[in-house]
Amino acid sequence: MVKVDNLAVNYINKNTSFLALSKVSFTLAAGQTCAVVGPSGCGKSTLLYVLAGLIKHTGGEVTINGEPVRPKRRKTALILQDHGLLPWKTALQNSYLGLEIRGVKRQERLAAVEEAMKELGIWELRDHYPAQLSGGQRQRVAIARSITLKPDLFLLDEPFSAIDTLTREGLQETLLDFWKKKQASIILVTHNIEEAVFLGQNILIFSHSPGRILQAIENCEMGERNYRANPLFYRRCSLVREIIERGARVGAG
Amino acid sequence: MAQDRAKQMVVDYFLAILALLVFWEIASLLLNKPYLPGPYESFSVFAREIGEFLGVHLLVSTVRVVVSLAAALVPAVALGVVLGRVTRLDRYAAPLIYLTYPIPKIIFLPLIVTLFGLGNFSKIFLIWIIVFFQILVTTRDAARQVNKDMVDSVLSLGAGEWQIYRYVILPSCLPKILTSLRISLGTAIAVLFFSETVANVGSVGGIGYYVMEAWAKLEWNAMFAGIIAMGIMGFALYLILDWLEKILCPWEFL
Repeated sequence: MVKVDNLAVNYINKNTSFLALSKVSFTLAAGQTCAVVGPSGCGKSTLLYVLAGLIKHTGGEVTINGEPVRPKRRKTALILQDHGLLPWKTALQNSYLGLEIRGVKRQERLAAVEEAMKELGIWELRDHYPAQLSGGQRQRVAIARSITLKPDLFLLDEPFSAIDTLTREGLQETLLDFWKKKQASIILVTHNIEEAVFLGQNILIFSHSPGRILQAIENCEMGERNYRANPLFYRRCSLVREIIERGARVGAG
Repeated sequence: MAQDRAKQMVVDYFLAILALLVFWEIASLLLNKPYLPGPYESFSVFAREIGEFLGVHLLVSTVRVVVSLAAALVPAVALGVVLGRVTRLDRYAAPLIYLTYPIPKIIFLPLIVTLFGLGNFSKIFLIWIIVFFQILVTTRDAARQVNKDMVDSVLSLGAGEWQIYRYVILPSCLPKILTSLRISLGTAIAVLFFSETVANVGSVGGIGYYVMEAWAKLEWNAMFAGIIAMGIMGFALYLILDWLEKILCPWEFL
């Protein structure tokens, strides 16, 4: 379970300071998904970096399964917008990098990676370098790298934003299938409203900087068959859009 | 595909060498002076001498260049990646580097010769202090520019600081390190020539010594044979660096 209570993050640089997040509180039960949407620069990515233990928060409390968040938590996986793949490693080497860093023996990591890469349909591309892969294929490699670590919490920072619509929808389905099978918790940061509604059981809508939660929406129908074709999906997208726009007007006013 | 590229490269180099030789021959014919012999005469002496003294001088010079580059590479890269990543340390080191880097180190030759004598060590040390700074500055700048997302991504996989250097910083800097090595090679050969001409003891002084001796004796063909030997050494070392880059950085040649 992820519990964020009154979180604040203040970036301090020499004589200036910038409040990125303020009074952010929410709870995510184990095995649930949460999508975070909001305008650019509202601190969505900062929230993920705090949860990944890469940024220290300056106020409030953040716990994962009852323990304060810390760097290098072995059960947390972070997937970034630009995939975070190393250009000098092949798809296979990138996929088992996490296991290699954790000292897993070559044979074991090859077996684990083969399964994940086959599941994601990228096993044939294992000897390709990231520069030889499309955006969608690179993101699948990044997902394979995370899956092999068997995490209980996935943090995704706009993972499909630089990918064409059809590939993006395919990857969203892949992620949904994966979540249904593994039941890991997922926190997804996105600026794409449809993506947030398709993948988030809970949707957190952030305000302009400093990021605060404007509204939390429960999206219980997420994961249902053909949800994207359901009129409720569109109504929910409209609702999220309306809240973001209202927040923007208040921010501008 | 790779074979085609290799064939094309051989043809390109052959044509470039041919163009140089033609230019040299024409210049020699036009000038018509003993101090600019043609390529045929020079290469004849080169072919005769390479199995004897010239070969020994060439070997000595090559060892000096390679040893000084290798000795500079290791500490310069190690210090460069650390300074590029640890901003606090770089803040103290940067003024020292900027003060010492622009000083032409060749100026220290008399001091180095006084301290270490006329043997191999003084020449290697002189090249070392020059190329060390070139590689250090390039590596530090390359390490500063490493993609932060890549570092964060690997950190999130559970990497420690040493693993960040191993998996991210060093490979990321490698192409630029090899470029700096290529630039340093040109510098090293120039400095070597200078040091071999002014600081020598014994009969095996290196190519610089060989060329200056031939010049002093007005043996123009031998002098050009020495120039050819130095050219071949530089060219061969450049080719080795190119080959190393292809082996170590395959992702740069996709």
